[in-house]
Amino acid sequence: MINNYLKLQYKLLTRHFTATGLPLVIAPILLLGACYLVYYLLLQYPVFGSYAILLGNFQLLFLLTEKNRNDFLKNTFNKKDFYTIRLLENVLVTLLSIALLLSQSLWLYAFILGLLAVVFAFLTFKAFGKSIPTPFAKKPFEFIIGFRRSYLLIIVLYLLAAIGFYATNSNLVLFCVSGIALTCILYYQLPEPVFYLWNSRETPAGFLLRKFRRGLLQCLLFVLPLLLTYAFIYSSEWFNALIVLGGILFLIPFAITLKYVAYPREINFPEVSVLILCFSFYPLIVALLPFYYLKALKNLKNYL
Amino acid sequence: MIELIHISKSFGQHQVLHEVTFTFEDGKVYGIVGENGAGKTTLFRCIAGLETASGKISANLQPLKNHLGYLTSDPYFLSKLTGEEYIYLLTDARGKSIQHLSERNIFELPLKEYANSYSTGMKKKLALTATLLQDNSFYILDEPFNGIDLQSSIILTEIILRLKAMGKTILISSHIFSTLKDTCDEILVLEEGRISKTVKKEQFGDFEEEMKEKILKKDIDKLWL
Repeated sequence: MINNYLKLQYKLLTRHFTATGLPLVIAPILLLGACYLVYYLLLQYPVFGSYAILLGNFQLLFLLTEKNRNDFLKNTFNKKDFYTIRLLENVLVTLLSIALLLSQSLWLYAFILGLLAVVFAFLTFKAFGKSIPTPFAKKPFEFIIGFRRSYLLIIVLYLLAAIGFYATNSNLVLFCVSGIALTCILYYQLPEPVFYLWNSRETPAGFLLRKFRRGLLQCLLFVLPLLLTYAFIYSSEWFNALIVLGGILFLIPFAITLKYVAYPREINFPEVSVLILCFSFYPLIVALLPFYYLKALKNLKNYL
Repeated sequence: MIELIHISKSFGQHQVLHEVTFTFEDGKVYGIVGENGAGKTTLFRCIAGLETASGKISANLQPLKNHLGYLTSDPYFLSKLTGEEYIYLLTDARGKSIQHLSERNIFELPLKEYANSYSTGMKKKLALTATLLQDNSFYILDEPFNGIDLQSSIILTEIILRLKAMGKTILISSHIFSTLKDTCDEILVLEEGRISKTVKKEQFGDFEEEMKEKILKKDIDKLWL
């Protein structure tokens, strides 16, 4: 039974790779390469890099505890197989990160991650009885959906930022702000059904402008309190806060633009590569945004 | 008014619509009937502009899609979006600001709950509420009576009649003839992508008898052992 389940998962994974349009052999290699690059960049700052690895894995493990998914597995497999599958999944998801942390002699982080992987195998997070309230109900939808999927990560980042303020660790605060912004950017990787777009009566330019405005406003609601507190407490470092804020102001519209360049398919390798490139050196967006913006406008004309 | 002139649509080698020509007048309710696969949904999608088709579709209000409310036969809801948020999403897309939503929740839906956890009937009612609150001039209702309870069915019939009285044009597809009889001014019979017949209100009784006879004669004897 477990064997069949794993084979099925492998099939699903290969389908995802095939969907990228790249040869089946190349896609996993590129993915591994990208993972290595991300890890390498993160470990240039070992402490914060380790936080990021832990948080990223925490989010992945949390997603795997989703109730409907686990209910399906419980209905399909007996108790023993269910827990074996959950443990296997968590180990597979965290294996690469644990290996990397061990290779850097970050024993404590590796231990915490291993522990999380085991504990999360026995947890199922039930959805709230009704829904998680957000202040954005009248302005749906990416942000609301994304927030409900990642609220735990946002809370953890806020807590870490609070620790950063308490321990006068300004870099930790900025790291958390960047983490929240990156999480918000990821909300825009989900394409909506064509029917949703069809309902809009705006022109492509008006549509994108509204998306930019809302995306920025909603993201700033999360990060501005932290950035303003940062600028107030570490007044000599206000310029750092400004740089991060500038990055957010460019990256959110850019992520939205890329979503509608790729639409109706999901954001894939080409867009993700551009996004990663811009995330590591965001002035690049200034050069790339107009090009992709025009591409998005052209693509949206087919649906609006 | 919506005018269809020689509308044809193919998916690969399979031609679904053949030269469909018809004019839907303002303030009238039109029923579209036909067997599964006759091309009803494709016709609706072509009118809405969700599918490209050859021929010409014109309307007195342009662009048509901005004045058209479309209730799909199987409404899709994104996960983690509540009923209330779905309504705001669809009305906001048409530039409509909705006040006092709870008072306008005529189907008494649990709007604070996630829409994709609703039952089939509730999903339909939610999609319908959102479409109605968009305040359109034309409506396409694809199987609006499917899966909804008796009370809601009565409310929906009344809604259609009121929309008609307001001068709106409504296209309905339904497999439940009695609902069409109560609401429509004219019924179009779609067979293999062609309008094979149009039936005026005064001929509905004869048409129902004709259909019964045709269908029962054809199929029911085969089942009887």
